[in-house]
Amino acid sequence: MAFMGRNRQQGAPRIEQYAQTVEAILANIGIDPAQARMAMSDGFGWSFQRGSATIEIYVTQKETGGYLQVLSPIAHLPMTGLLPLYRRLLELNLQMTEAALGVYTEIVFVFVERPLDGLDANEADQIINNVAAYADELDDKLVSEFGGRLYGRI
Amino acid sequence: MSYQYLQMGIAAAQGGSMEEAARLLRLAVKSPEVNAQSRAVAYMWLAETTTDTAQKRAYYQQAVESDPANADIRARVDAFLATQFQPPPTPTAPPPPGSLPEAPRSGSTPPPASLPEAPRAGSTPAPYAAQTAANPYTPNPAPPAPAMPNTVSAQMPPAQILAPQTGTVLDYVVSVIGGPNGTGSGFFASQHPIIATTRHVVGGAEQVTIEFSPGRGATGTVIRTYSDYDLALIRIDYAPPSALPASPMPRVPDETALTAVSYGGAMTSGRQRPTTRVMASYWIPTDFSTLPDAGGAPLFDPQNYLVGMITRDTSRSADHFFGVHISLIRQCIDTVLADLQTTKAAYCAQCGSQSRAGGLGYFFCEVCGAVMPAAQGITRYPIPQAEPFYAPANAPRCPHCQAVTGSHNGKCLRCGQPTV
Repeated sequence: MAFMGRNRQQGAPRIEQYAQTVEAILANIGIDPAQARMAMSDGFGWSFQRGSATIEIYVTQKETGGYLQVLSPIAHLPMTGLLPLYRRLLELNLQMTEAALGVYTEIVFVFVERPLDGLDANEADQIINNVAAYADELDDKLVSEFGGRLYGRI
Repeated sequence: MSYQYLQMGIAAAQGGSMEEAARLLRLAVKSPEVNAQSRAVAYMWLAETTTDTAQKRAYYQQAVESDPANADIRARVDAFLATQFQPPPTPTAPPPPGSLPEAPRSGSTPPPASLPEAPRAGSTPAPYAAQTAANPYTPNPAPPAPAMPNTVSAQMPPAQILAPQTGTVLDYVVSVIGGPNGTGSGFFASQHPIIATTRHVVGGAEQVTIEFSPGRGATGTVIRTYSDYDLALIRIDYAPPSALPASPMPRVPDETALTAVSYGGAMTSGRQRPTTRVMASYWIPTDFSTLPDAGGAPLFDPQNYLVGMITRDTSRSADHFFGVHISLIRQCIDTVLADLQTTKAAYCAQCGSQSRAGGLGYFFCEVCGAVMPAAQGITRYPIPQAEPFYAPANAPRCPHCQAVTGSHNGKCLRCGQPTV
């Protein structure tokens, strides 16, 4: 299950092999990989619901190796009052463990990135649950305090 | 034997043999048999054996530390310090807001500090007279009972004029207690009831304790801090009798001798440090590298004019502290007081500004976005009326997301898309 045993000198695993392993991890935690799979022009991606949170997983190949990205879009930015919100996001970032908040285009994300080397199903499950828990906790709180709207809701 | 050293030392001093007196008295103060009261007396005599003012000051300081309850010693030390730092030469009118102090007129320059006279042979030197009248060499002369400290809180009306205690610069220097970096000094930089110290001293505190002298304290409210200048302004209910005379020079000349007077009378001497570095004119480079507290002490030039405040800011390449010029401090005080009179604002401890949004009861500081102290721990929600505070004036509408939140580097602060 883990990538740890691979010897890079004997040939690093290709991104397809990483994707297969992620799908095995997803199946192991009760997610149907085929249903979650997203069409990607580059790399592999999956999207599914975990509780009330939308979870997206990407496997990407970089120069330094394969990476697993787990993220959850939680809210659309409000039209006004961005300064207090941005500050709050930075303050929350300082308090979060093994996850970060970020803004991409006009959406607030909870985000984790990790090298695929050494990843196993238990840790992947932990990462996904961690991101889902943060997303679940923060989305309503941020929207009720600063406005905007929950991701994908009107 | 130790008390014999003390006895012999005093006798030698009275006989004019200062070197021998110093040697014997140093032996006495080192002895563990000598109690604190007698050690304090020995230090006072030691101070009489030298004409080096720095050394003399150090001995006085040690005397006070050895027997802090001895009011007589304190009074004598204060009297000595008064000769080092004359009180304001003239009760000058405060400078107009935003301007530099007037140049001193001829004749108004304070006289140079004079040294106290050395004790004459056969006479009872002043420092020792009060305590040794009955039995000068008694090992533990009972010090007079210390006066009960005055408590100023809730007994004096707001903005009461502080009566001078000793008529020296020490009346203007206070201790600032309660900040995150330890106790610092502060001072009345103008005639207003405002204490100036460093932001390093107050940190994010909104209230601190101001100590005027041991046992006399009051609560001070931080009203403004400037992280750019490392300056903090604290409002208290007491005003000084007048403003300390400030240097008329817009900058401190190279190599000027400077003295920082910290709370309690501890003085740190140094010089203005010439530098080729280009920096704002309000910074005073010094060669100070140690301070007795967290900073915030007033800086004086050789003519006893107030030139600024010492901070704990250093450059990246050296450990020397920088000072901030008094003209900037007074300008900041005037600006803050004017702002407080014309606008309703609340202090934001996060960024140090006076938040107008906070003053109107809105939840967030419009400068830094932090939650205002009054809004901590309550349910917060979007307030449409507050929106103008958090948006730049006349910002164009983003063609992509339609937000009017402004842009940075040509990109919308909300959606990140180019605004043109």
